[in-house]
Amino acid sequence: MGLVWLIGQYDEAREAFQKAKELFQSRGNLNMTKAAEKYLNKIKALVEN
Amino acid sequence: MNKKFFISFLMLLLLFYGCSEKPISEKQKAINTYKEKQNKLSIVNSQSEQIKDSNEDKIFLPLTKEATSFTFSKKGVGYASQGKFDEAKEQFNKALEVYKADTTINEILNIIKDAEEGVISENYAIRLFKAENHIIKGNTQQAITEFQEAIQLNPRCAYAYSKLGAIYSYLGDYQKVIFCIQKASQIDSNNVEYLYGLGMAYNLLKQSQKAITEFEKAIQMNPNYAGSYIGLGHVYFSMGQHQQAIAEFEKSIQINPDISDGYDELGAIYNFLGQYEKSLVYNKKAIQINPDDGAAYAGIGINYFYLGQFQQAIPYLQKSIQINLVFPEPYYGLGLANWPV
Repeated sequence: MGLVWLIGQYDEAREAFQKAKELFQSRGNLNMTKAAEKYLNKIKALVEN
Repeated sequence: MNKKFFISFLMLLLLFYGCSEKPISEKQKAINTYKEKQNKLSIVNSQSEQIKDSNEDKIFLPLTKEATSFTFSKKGVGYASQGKFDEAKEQFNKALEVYKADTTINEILNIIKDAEEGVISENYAIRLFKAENHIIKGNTQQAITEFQEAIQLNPRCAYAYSKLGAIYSYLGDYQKVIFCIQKASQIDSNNVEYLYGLGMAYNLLKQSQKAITEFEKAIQMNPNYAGSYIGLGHVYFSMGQHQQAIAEFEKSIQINPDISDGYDELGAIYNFLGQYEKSLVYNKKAIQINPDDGAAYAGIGINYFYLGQFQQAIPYLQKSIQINLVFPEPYYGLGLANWPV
């Protein structure tokens, strides 16, 4: 599994979690906003490393 | 009351219940299953199985179908918000050919009729359609502002109140839902959908008895209204009486087999109970009845996810997003399905 493929997958996951976070936030659902944020932070850490 | 909007919202809430609460470990299990599967597939050939599965599904589901009722209704609302009522009606009628039980479209057609017959002004109708357009585009705050302004101009507009109620239910503000639907119900006391909306809101506020009272009133008003049984099913589900909930959902299908809602609910409850294959059957049945049932597509995606078929899940979650832009749950599911484990 190549690095480029992995980063591509992260992009798709990041995009989806980012949108989910925004929509959960607009709905005032703090638990789910945090859950989406957790995945976004994981992606950030994984890509940076 | 925009019933489909409310139903989709509740369905997604039920389907994605696990995202923040109980089945989070189930999701982790699914991810682990996926990991194991990927490890095995890296030794054999990963392509053949995935292609076979996805081809099988294309036989059943209109994933690539371009002109759906949603496409028509979206175009219709676009025309209506510009005052082009004839063009709008043409699109709405095409949408009804695909799914005749679409309550939202029937409500919109009634507004056009009122505008054409001079019951309300054309400008007022256009304002309502502009608000509707904001909902479709996911601009909930603009939609709220438009509907509030519409109410200021005409405080006797039940439609605007009920739409506001639907938006507030999406935003989780159930006290405002009750306020708006009670207002709508005072204006139009014969509309059974408002009793349904009130019952749903009370149930979400965990006021089961009040919810049951509203649904019983709805049954008295119209015994052939399937929504009352769906509502009762939700109350029983909230009380942990899952078999009773299933019985009510089945009753709703017996009363009206031409709407997809009962199948949606059965799909959601079997998903909750961990019977994913059975849940898939009901999701697919819902889509056969209503090819634009966004909640059913999300249900299929989530069922595939739980079954560890992550690649299978993705197009269904994407399709659900395409239909219901404002719901965050399918995006979250898509994020998980795309998670590179």
